[in-house]
Amino acid sequence: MTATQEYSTGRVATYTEEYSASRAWIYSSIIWLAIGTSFALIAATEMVSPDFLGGISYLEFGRIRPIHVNSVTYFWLSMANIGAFYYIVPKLTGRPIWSEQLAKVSMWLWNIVGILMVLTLAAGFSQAREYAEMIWPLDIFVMIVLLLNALNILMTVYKRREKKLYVSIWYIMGSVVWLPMVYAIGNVIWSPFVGNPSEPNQNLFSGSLAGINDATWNWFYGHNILGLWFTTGGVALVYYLVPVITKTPIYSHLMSMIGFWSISLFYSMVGQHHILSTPTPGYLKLIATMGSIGMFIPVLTFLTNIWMTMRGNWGRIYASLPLKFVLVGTVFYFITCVQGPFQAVQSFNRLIHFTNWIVGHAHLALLGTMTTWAMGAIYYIIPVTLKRRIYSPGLAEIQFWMVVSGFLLIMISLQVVGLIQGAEWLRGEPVYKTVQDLKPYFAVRAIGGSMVVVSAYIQAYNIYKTVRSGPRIQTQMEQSLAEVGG
Amino acid sequence: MKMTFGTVLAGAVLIVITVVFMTVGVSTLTFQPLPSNAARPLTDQEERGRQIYMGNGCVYCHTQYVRPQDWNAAGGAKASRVAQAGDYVFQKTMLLGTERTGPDLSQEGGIHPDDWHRAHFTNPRYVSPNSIMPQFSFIQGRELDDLIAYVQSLGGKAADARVAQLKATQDTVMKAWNTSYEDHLAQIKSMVPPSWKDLKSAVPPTTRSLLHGKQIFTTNCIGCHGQYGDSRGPASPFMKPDPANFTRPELQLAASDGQYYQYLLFGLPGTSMPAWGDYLTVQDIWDVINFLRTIPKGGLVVPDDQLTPALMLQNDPVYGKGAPGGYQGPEPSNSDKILDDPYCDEKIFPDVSVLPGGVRPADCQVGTGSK
Ligand code: HEC
Ligand code: HEC
Ligand code: HEM
Repeated sequence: MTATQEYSTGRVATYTEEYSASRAWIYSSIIWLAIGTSFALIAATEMVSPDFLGGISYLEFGRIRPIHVNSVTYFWLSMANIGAFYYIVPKLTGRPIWSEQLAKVSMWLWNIVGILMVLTLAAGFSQAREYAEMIWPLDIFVMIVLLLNALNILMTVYKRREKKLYVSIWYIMGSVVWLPMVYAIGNVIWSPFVGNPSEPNQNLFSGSLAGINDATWNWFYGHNILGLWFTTGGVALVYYLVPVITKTPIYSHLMSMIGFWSISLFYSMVGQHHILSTPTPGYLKLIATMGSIGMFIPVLTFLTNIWMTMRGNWGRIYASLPLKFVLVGTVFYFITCVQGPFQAVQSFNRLIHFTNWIVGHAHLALLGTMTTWAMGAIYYIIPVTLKRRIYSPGLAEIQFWMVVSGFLLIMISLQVVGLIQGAEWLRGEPVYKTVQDLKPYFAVRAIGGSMVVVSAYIQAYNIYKTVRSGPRIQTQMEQSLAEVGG
Repeated sequence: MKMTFGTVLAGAVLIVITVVFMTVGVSTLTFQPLPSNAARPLTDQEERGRQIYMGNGCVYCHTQYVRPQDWNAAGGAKASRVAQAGDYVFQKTMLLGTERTGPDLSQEGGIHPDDWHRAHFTNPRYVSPNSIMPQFSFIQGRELDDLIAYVQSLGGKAADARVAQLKATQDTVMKAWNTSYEDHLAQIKSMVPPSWKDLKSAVPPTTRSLLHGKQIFTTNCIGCHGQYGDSRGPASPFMKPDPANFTRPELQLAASDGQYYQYLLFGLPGTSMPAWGDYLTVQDIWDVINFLRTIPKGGLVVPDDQLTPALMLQNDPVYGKGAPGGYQGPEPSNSDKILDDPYCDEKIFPDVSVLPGGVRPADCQVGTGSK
């Protein structure tokens, strides 16, 4: 880009490959979404028709499921968020990313981890810790990439030109240092062997402890990966996109601050609410329940802040596709965070623990909320940085409705059947009987899922076409329009 | 408060580190439970099986801890046990699980014999027709032995005791089985308490009962006992003794209803026949027994509308009322019969004035309540 095109902020440095790292991460995240949801569709079909692909070891449900979960969490959502960070951070700090080259190298390393993840899990090598299935050697690889990313982003912020730190930057700084911390601690990465490595029945490369405390570590991690990475990363995007698109300053600085400090306090203490009825120390459960209820504070301050910023701007959602994605995401975020604290209360937890309600909740958070946020960010960043309009706004619109309605089918079917399962178990029905109730709901889940898969492919196609042949943005006018998500 | 680079970074790190230390850190330092009375370390073979369990994602469908309210989530009556912290001290990597698509496995050891597991892992539908568990037919040979050894170890010392008892019963059963079929029948009959031996079905064989029995049979039993009740189910090659063949009237006559009831309620220890008491109600069990009695006369092939009490009650030389050992329970009561036309029944509609047109249908047979 030439110096004449500095109009966006007036400060951004001039170099030819502006935001190429950001786009590189985003492109590969888009591919991972298509991969991850395709695996999901295989898993969902297997749950309805268990002999479909039966007997093929590497396509067995128990191996496909972690591949799906890891692809969509680490390789779709995380990559899309990091890609967006590489756009937002330069924008807000007034300087290019510390090392564009390093950012691209980490992108390739991250993709290599992803491919190794798929291969190892399909071959049956797994730590069997939820969300942490990657085996210990891969954990080390992951840590290296996470640290490189953190370094790159922190250095950019440290050497910034714009002195004032906007709220998105706090969240991004927090997220990139929390993730490696949480990953290392939760994976018990310093303990690849349990006991003496020369003992014959060693759990090689498991990264785990012996005894029930291991579950506490596992769920400290399992929760904080959601709370201190996906959530905070997503919140950073929303805090950036909504004010920029509506050209309205954020409603309250104080609220942003309360939100930030309370999320780091409350989220880090709630891990135990995933295993509330295990024989683990009671005070951990108490802290987890209290922290979960405390989560209302960051959630409500954040949402109030965003929705108040939208005052007088709601009409914009018809004109701006990114804004539409993001705001629908905030509604789902609200629902997620109302469900969450209730689920952490023992009496409700008794009913829904172990059931498909939880899977519904997981999709509400990661698919309904975070995925729509990330999609919104992508539809914002790609046109602005490429200087090309979206190839087909119509397709993007279809993608929006497919992902939202597909997701709603997934969530509603799973949560309804979750309540049925929970009620039947409390009445003493054996599990083998409730299995028979699942099938129709699982069929609905598979249908909803295939809609999400279709939307993932639409996104891949639409972005691909945009890159190849999207109409070029030529005038200053068109560029300003792109910058308000139009 | 001024949000500077230093404040944000240091604040974010310190808060999380402090909270982690106070929760996860302190609990790990202070909470070191002693082994419970059931805990024991795994053998090498069981540990290999555990690795297979981890690698194949069994943990996404099976939990390994029972909460106080889950009295029917795991292995059944003889094996329920609320999880204790000390149960896990020898385990590396917790496999507690968060989803219970299949039953809890924390007490699975000794619930089923190895034969059952072999058939089940090859294809779960063989033994549990409605199961959605994946096929593990790719786990074979030594790996399958390892996995089964691990599953049989679940429950620790309590499971060991169950497995030992199972093995002992199996030896007695197999000894009789290898001698002659008569010895075998006598041997399994010896497990039945005397007061049950002459018990007759408590549920009259109404059409409703037989239809329900058929439904129970096809959803639970055909994997072993076969589509036609002829013991040729897909699971049967895995099992010794073979599943019972219900198409042979002389074998059925050798066992009373009470005997069958015992076999269903508690299973046949030492064989692969599971205990159905945790899955089926009393009514379910009698209904399926009534239905079993119609199998030699085509209960599984006759169309449903012919599955009537006549198939086992009336004038039947083998199961009929008159036949020795034949059905002697209560007659089906009138209200259990499916009426051709309720408007014909004087008991249901004593007052004709409430009927459409104020008269009974023209083709009612007077006094019988049917057409
Ligand atoms: C898709 C989810 C799923 C997966 C994955 C799965 N199972 Fe199952 N499992 C079930 C269901 C559902 C049942 C109940 C129906 C039946 O008996 O098959 C079951 C039943 C069982 C039982 C019998 C419990 C009893 O006493 O009735 C055992 C043992 C078992 N599974 C072991 C395993 C092992 C070992 C693995 C991994 C190699 C595994 N399962 C993987 C769903 C699953
Ligand atoms: C896992 C395989 C399996 C399943 C499922 C199964 N059975 Fe069995 N069943 C057996 C085996 C094996 C025997 C032992 C036969 C013997 O000892 O001669 C048996 C024996 C019996 C007997 C005793 C027969 C006799 O004459 O001694 C009855 C009755 C019976 N089963 C009924 C049922 C019913 C009803 C169901 C379904 C609710 C059922 N079984 C499901 C395997 C199974
Ligand atoms: C990009 C969006 C998605 C995200 C972020 C996501 C995330 C997740 C997460 C976190 C879990 C684990 C739940 C738990 O821990 O209990 C999960 C499980 C699962 N997801 Fe997704 N998912 C997405 C899309 C989909 C789609 C499109 C489908 C269906 C086609 C799907 C089907 C499944 C299935 C079958 C499981 C396993 C559930 C079970 O064990 O019963 N997901 N997903």
